[in-house]
Amino acid sequence: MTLLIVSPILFPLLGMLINALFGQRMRERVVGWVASFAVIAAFAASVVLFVQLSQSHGEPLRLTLAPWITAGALNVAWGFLVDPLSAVMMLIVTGVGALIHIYSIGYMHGDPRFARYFVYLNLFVAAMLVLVMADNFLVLFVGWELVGLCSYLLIGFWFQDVKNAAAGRKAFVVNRIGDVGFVLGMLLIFATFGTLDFETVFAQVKVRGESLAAVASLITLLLFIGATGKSAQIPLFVWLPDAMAGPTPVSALIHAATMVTAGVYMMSRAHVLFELAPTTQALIALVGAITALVAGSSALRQVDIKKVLAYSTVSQLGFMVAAAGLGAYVAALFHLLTHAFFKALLFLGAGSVIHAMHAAHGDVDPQDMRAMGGLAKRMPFTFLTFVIGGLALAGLPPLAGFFSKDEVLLAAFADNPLVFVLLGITAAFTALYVGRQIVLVFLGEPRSANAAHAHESPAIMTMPLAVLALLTLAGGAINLPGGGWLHHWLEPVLHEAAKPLNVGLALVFTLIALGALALAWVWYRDAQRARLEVESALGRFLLSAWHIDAVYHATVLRAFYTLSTICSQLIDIGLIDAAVNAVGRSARAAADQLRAAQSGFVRNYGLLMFLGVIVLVVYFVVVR
Amino acid sequence: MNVADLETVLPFLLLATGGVALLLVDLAVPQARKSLTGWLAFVVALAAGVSALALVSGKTMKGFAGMVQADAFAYFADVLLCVVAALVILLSLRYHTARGLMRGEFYPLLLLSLSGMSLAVHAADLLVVFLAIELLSIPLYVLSGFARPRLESEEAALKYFLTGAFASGFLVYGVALIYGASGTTALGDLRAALLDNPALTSDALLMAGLALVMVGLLFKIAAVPFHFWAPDVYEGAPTTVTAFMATATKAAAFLALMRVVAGFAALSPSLAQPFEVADALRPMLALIAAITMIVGNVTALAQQNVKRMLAYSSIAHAGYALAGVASGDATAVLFYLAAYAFATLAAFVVLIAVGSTEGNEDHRYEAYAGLGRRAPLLGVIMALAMFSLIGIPPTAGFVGKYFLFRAVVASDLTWLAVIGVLTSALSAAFYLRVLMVLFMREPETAPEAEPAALAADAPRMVAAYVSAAAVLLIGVFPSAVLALLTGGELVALVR
Amino acid sequence: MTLQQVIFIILAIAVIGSALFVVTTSNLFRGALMLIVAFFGVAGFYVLLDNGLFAVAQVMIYIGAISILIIFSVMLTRGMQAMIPRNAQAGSVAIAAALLFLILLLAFGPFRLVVDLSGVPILSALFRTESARVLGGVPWQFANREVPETYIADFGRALVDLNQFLLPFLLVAFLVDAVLAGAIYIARQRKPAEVIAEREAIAKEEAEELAALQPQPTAPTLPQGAIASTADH
Repeated sequence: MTLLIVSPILFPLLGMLINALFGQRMRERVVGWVASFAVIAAFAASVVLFVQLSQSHGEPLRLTLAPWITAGALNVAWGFLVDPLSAVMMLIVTGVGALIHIYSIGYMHGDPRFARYFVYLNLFVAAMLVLVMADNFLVLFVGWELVGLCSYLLIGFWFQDVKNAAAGRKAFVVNRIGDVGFVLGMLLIFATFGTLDFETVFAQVKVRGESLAAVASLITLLLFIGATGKSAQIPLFVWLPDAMAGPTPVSALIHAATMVTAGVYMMSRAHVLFELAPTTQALIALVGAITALVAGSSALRQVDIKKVLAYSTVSQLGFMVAAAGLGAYVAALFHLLTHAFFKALLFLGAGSVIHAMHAAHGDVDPQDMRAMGGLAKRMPFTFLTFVIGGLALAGLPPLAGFFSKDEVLLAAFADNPLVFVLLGITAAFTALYVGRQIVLVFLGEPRSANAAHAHESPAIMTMPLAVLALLTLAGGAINLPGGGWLHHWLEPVLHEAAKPLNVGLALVFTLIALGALALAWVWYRDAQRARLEVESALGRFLLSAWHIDAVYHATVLRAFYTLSTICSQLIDIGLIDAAVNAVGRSARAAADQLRAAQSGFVRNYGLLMFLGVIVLVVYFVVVR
Repeated sequence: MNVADLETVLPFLLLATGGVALLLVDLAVPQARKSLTGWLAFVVALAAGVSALALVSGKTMKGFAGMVQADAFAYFADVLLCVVAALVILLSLRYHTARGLMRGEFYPLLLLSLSGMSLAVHAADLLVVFLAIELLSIPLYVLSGFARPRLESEEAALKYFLTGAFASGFLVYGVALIYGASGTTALGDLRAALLDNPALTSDALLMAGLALVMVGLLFKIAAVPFHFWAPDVYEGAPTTVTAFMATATKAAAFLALMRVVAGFAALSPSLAQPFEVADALRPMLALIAAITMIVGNVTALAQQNVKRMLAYSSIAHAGYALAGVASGDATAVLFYLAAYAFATLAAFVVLIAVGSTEGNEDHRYEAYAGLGRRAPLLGVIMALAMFSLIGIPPTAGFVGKYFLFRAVVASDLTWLAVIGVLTSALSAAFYLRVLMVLFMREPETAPEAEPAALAADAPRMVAAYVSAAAVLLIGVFPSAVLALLTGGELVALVR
Repeated sequence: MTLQQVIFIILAIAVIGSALFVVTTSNLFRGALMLIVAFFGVAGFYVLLDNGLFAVAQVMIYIGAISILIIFSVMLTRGMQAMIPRNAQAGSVAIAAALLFLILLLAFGPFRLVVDLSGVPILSALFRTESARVLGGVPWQFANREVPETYIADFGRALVDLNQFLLPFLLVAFLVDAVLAGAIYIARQRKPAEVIAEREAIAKEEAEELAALQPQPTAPTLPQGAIASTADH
């Protein structure tokens, strides 16, 4: 049992170890399949745990592996927990992870650092599982940091290009800012409750209730700052679009399906705390909605096939965060689940397109949608699956995205009109940019030699597409409106009542989505529009994501540089260095004096030793 | 013959008989195959280490009419000494071939010296202390001059011998005075005599004897002002011998010193447990420790030669460990010595790798320029060693200094701990300078040594990995080392 | 004054006088001869202490072996006799030795001396000198024990008795072994050609170093007994 609970973590670690030690000497295929089977095994173990959990009616499985930190009042163990919430996350991480591992075998084919890629990817899966299986905040934080590390390593995987390395660094730094919030929140939790254990903390919250309201507001605010970093919300979302510098399967796994949802998972896990802090909740909902709108509108004018999906991811994360802020955790997690399916599908589809554009030798940027077009005929399978994913993202019934997005909108409709309006507009934008992307990439005539000579990707890449497409088609079924399976499953953890389907609302948004798709077809059938619209002021504004990066440069970064200049020039060189140098000079002077005693003559040494003897004897005989 | 008596000095017996036997065996080893002698010595050292490891227990046993004591500290030191010696043997194989030193006598002499060390850590009688110190020293005198007819090496041997004989004279004179005053040389009897007869505690004869014995031991650990031999000898001796002297000799002499100090713990009426240092001795030990830390670190700053810098570094670290002796915490001292030994050995791996290449052995800083990039593995090992010697976590040196300074503060010697921390900060200047040269400076001339030659030797690489791993593992899992030292519980150094 | 005391004083004068001559003479050969006198004096002390065994051992080992070895070495290295040793530190060493002698004399001598440092500002603060120390006036005990007839046999047995000195005896055996091995290594003849080549290479290297250090062509003469390091300090 012990081994079974940690086995989902151990399998990827084992795979990582094998590839790290022997990867250099093994053939590419072997490396890839070792890594993939490690994750498939982890998936199988997760399924076994899931079945056990359902047989025990959601009674959580716990395991304390070893004590970790025992310092005074702080007692933290390597503790793991499998409850309905973590079980769902484990299935997503290992399931989608396994598909993306397999896909990567094809996508990374021929890369000189093929083995290292899979080492990182395996490590990521293990770290993500630590994150979702932790039974206390500190172990969760370990996973949180480890996935951040993997993300950094994989974004900058092709570090030979300075741009990619810079993107990795940016992700790292921005996430660190969020982590400071998370760590402070964690410290405050420890100061308030005297423990970091989930169970004990949440039990205490239930007992002490309202008396904690003030401190809970602060704790949740700090934890949410952590979430804005990892889950790419305003103001810290700027790293995610740049993170597309990494290999596309990485974007699919880490920057769409799993890691970026860690913030949403963490808020659901700590929902007991968040429910005590209505002010923070309202703020979270608003931040999520604004992020959704800003990112959704920015996606309208992107020309890079992956950037569209990146902004779309930020936007959809905004949906989830807003749902969490509204207290609709099931909706948030449901959307997380369906989004993992269809966004991974879209990314892998985009990867397939990039792979094809890259393989067909030409001189254009293989990710520029303006150079594509007409790929539907050349890559029919990719086209089909991409459309399924796109329509799910746009929220058309009966695809998975329809049900989950509808639940989020329903929660907003009931509780917070402002959030509802913002999310509603975003939903329209979503359909519009999805339509724009499909039209530009797949329809019309090829606009470059690359596009004209593109071929369908190999089976190892299209098979995962097929599986994900099936999941996208059928995924909505796990939580049909009015209290579906997911609701019941998460009931022991989240204690949330299900809402019935609002037919009117569903109908209105379906029509909006259809209208937006139609508009996209009308607008972008002629690709000229896509070329021109980026030139306009609005186009530039949206292309650069509301100039937020520039604003950061002008304010935060410039202030920071000024401060560093003052520190380095005035304080460091002028004050500290001068003092240190003075000390150093005197130490050196003393050293030269002492060196003089080391004359090299034995008789000198003898005399000096003799004097030492006299001092010692006098001390022992007379003084002591 | 009582088997229990033999068990108390089993590592010593294995090493000494192994050393003598190897002298004979070596005669049959052809000159071209002298590394075979080295491997045999390696096996003997490992066997002795394993025997000590097997004998580790919480119990304290005395043997040979109370002349030796076998306790957790002694066996811990045995294990440390044997591991260090085994690693030095691994390092010596290629180095001696390259320097034309591959002669069979090296290994028996090393084992005999090691046997002296092993006995020194078991000594419970001043006679045994003296003889063990001689047994460890005399082969070292020869080993320092092993690279004859190179002048530096011969000079080192002669200097070491002359000053060492001088110090030995004081040591044996002190033993005689102590015997004259108390009628015994056994440390346990001495302790009992001091407790029974308070008049003895202010006996001038006894105190003069103690002072002279201390001189002899402080000389071996190279504490100021008995350190002058160390830089010259360390620099002149073959690098493998220097590595052995800087690590093993120091550890052995320290435990012997602590046993002597503990034997005199009853000097002061206020015998405060758990410390086994008399209040009467503490100020002088603390003073010498402070001066040694300052002189060692400050002089190291002015060195232009890595090998010589490490000699001063060893003096400075003797000061740190001596501060631990003044605090009376033998566990902290032994832990520190282990941490220091592996870090220093890791540094010497790099020196020996450099010395194993063709051409003259050159340890000036300039000769190391860019080495970290030409041979990244050596660079990393040197970095680990330097970090540990400074005391940066997560290396062994950090934990060692932490335990040590904690003990020093706990024994009301806060000022000494402050000096220790300040000099540690100072030491970063010359330790980091090595890394700066290794990684950030370009060599002036085209490098003579090819990276392949620097990394090709398998035994040396094993030694490198083991010492680097020890530096890290001791730093990360200090409790495993403490477990060997009876979990940090108090063990009476003298019964 | 008993006869024993008279003999002791004569022996003491002989030992001290010859020892002083050994350390002050510039002639190594004469020094070695006077060393024999000093050794004989010490053997006389042993006789006075009724320990014939040690007296014989002293004569056989120190005079019969060591002194003769010294004389042989002096005669075999004739070049050394021509050198005139200078030691600039003779004065300071003499003062230091006299100082140590004085301290020990005060500590063990017949005069009783009370030292109270509890009032001295720095020392008392540093070393917690609460009480006064009494120096000298040591009540030396003169045990007039009869030496048993069988003491030589007893001594021999004690050396191999597990409950007495077996371990030190064993240790000395290993020590002698190590000394022999080391001595043989140092003294061993190596192939002349090998040594010459090595010496030449080293001499050349050192000459270059010296030339780099000192522009003037004349090499400085090093005083005898001084072992100067060529490395930096």
